[in-house]
Order: sequence, then C-alpha cells, then structure tokens
Amino acid sequence: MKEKDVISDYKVQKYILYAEKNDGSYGTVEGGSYIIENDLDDFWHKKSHLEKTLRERLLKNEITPVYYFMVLEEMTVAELASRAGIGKGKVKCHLKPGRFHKITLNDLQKYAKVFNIPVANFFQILLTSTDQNPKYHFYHEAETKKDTFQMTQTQTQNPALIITKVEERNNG
Amino acid sequence: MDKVIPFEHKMSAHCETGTLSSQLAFHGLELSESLIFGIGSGIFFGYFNNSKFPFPTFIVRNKPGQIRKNLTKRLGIKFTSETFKTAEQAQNKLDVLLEKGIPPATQVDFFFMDYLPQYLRVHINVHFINVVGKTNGNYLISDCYYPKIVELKAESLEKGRFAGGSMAPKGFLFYPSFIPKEFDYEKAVRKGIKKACFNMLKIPIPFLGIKGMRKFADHITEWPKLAMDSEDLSHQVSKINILLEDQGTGGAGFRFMYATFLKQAAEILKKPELIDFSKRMMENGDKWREISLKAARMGRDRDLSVEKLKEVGDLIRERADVEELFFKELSKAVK
Repeated sequence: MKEKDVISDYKVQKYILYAEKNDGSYGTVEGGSYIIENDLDDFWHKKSHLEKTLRERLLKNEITPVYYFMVLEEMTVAELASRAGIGKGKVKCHLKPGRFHKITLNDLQKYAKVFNIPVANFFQILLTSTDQNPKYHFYHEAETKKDTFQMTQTQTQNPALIITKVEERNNG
Repeated sequence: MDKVIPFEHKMSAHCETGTLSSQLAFHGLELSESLIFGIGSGIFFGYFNNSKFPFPTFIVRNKPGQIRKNLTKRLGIKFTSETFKTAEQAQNKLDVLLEKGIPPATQVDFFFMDYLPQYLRVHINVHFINVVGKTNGNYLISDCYYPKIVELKAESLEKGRFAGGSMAPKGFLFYPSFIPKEFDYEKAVRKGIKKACFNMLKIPIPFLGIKGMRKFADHITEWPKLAMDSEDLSHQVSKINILLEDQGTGGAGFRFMYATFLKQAAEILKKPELIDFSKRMMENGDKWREISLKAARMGRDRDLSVEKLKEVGDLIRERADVEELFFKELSKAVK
C-alpha cells in the first residue's frame, strides 16, 4: 500500500498502518479506519436491528433475558459459562423460558457482572423516545441526544439495587 | 497512592507487539514493532468453525503471548510474568510494582476499556496495555490504540483483568527483567522467518496456515445458512473487514507489517533478495486489502448472494496460492 492511498481523515479513531512511504521506504503511517468512516451508521443499524429482533422474541417469552444479552454480546454458551463461573448445563437451563423462573439471585449477579449491567435490567427494558435501548450501547448517540430526558443508572451499596434517574437534559 | 512513571507513550499498529516495543524502550532497548513481529513469527492464518465461536471466524496472527515467548527464546530477553488467583492479589501486585517504578504490561478484556469508543468495545480477552501510574484511585494506561496516556477506573481495570472465559487473562502481567547487552539479530531473524514459514505451510491441522485460507475460501459460501437473518449475515461479512484491517493489524491482516519486517531483515541478513520478497508481500497485502474493501462494501449494500460470497472465496483461494508459493520460496531463501 502506498502512503497516498491511506485514508486518514477520520479524526475520532486513529490507526497506525504500515505502508510504502513516498520516499520508497516502508514504515508506519497514521490512518483512519475505512469501515468506521463509511459504515458506522450501518453498523449501529445492524446492532439495533438485532436488538429489536431479540426484544420482540423476549416480549413473546420465546427467549430469556440471559439469552438476549448473550447473543447481543456475541458469546457462546461455553464462553458465558466460563466467564460467569456457572456450569454449562445450568446456563443452558437459564436460556429456556420454562426454566428461567428458577434462577437464583446469586446466578443473576454473576451474569450481571459479565454483561456489565445492573441486575434489575434483567427484568426491565428501558427505552428512549426513538425506541432504542439506551443501556446496552447499541444506540446511536446522536439519536438519543434528541431526547429531552436522559437516563442514568447508579449502583448502590446493595448489590441487588440500582437507582434509575430520569432527568431533563441541560444542553437541550 | 499517587505515582506517575515517565513512560514514553507511542501509538502502534498492534497491541502485543506495540506493548512489547514500548516496554523494551522503557528499559533502554529500541526495537521496532515490525522487527518484534517478524522475530516473534507473528504472521499466520487460521479459520475457526467450532462451538467456541458463535459464528465462523478467522485469525491472522499467531497465538497471543507467543510473540513474547519467541522473543525470549530468540533474543534472550527475559520477562517476569505472573498470573493471580484473586483480583485483589493482582491489583496489590500492580500497586507494588508501580511504587517501585516499574510499569508492567497487563492482559485485559477489551470490553472494559472505558476510554475507547463504544463500537470498538467487544469481549476479546487478549488485549495488552501498559499501566504507567495511578492518580486519585484511577490507573494511568498507555494503550497503543489510543493517542495519549489515559485514566481508567480501578474497578474497570480489575474487571478487565479478571474477565474469565476463553484465554482468560487471570490478571496476567509482565515486564522485562533482563535484557542482554548484545544480540545475535541475524540468527533471531532467520529463526523467526523459518518458524513463520513452518507455521504457514506445515502445521498438520486442516484449518491452520495456508490450509486455513483454503478452508475459509470453501466454507464462506455456507455462511448464509449459519446466519440468523440477512442483517446478521451482512454484519458477519463486514466483520471480515474489521478482522483484517481494524483490529490492530497495521492493514491487510499484518501483511504490510510483515513486508516492512522483510525489508529490515534484508539489511540484517545482508540478503538483498529479501527486498524482492518484501515487495511481493506488499503487493500481496494490497490484494488482501481489496478483499476486505469488497467485504465491507458487500456488507453495506446487502449484496450477499452466494455468487458474491463465492467471488470472495475465490479471491481468498488466490491469496492462498500466492502465499503458499511465497513462503516456500522464502524458506529456501533464508536457509
């Protein structure tokens, strides 16, 4: 690759690329990512499409919240089991709607740690006016900025309890 | 405890080689990233279609941590490394090292690196960062994917270091403890190239090396059956671009970096014919880049018919043929 072919106008995320420099030597050139520059909107679109498809199934009780997050985070059962420290068989149980109600708080906390969410979010869906799920970073920031209200979730000292605060956005 | 170690931050193409390069620079040895990559036999290919991954995927580099081990073997640089049973022990050890003025490199899960943009943060357990200080309970991180030294919450670092899962970091940290005064670069480079050729050509496993490329080329037409829906398939095809270009490869799945290394190798081994190999590798990289651009465009335009995927497969098969010949000749050239 020649230095002049390196796409470098994407300012937010810089990458180091190796290329043939103008003087013929090979070395590092600062460049930007093609896919982030051109397809980031599309990337979010696909993510939120996935989220919506899963959410619909979740609402119909076809899948469980654990399955919902597992697929969103692109994990397999084995990976989730290993990360959460729960047996594979047990994780498979937690993926079946008929068995999910037997889940213990202890296991939920383990899952919550893996997905980096509060335990309460296994039992609720938080939506913005643009119908996006704000917590799971599958939203486009520009879109949620249209909302007059913003939502923040803070963990309390009680591991099972969080405070969800809805407040008016200052910057309008 | 507040401590800031004067650590020279530099961005680099890949996290493991970049971390090694800046660690060695801190201890007084200037080795370029590409040279480390070459001596560590970093170049590779593997196609994985098993239950460990939710969707078939591929790698373009050798096993994480292997480059460091190869450096130890070939240059005699010794690293002190440690894993821990509990997160508390791991953080304590980190604090002790920082207090002593040693900035260790540590292995983390990418997902918990809060300073990176959200679209980059996926669960990958094999990211390497340098920890260079601590202020107000936050750690100072020198991450070679980020333009400057950045603060990270102690909690996030702890979660990242103890993420669990496949290739779990277990708080793994390392720093160079012994650097020899003189090196036999010639021998090291020769060994690095030979091992890379072996890895690409001769590993008797059907999905590693050149065989992996062919497997990928054959199997890509099956992807539509494996995907959940067309949007998912589009995401997976776009991911070919991400894996080849964006996940810290220096472009074209490390092929450009390897070309740079071969040029350095020509000087070290005093073999001008390697410059020709370097040029060929650069051209090979350009073709890989064409594949990744094609994949990105196909993903965006939802142009995902089996014929189109077959075209990508054919391009990959062509790369396999080219690289097979390339590495065969390269291994003869360094004999």
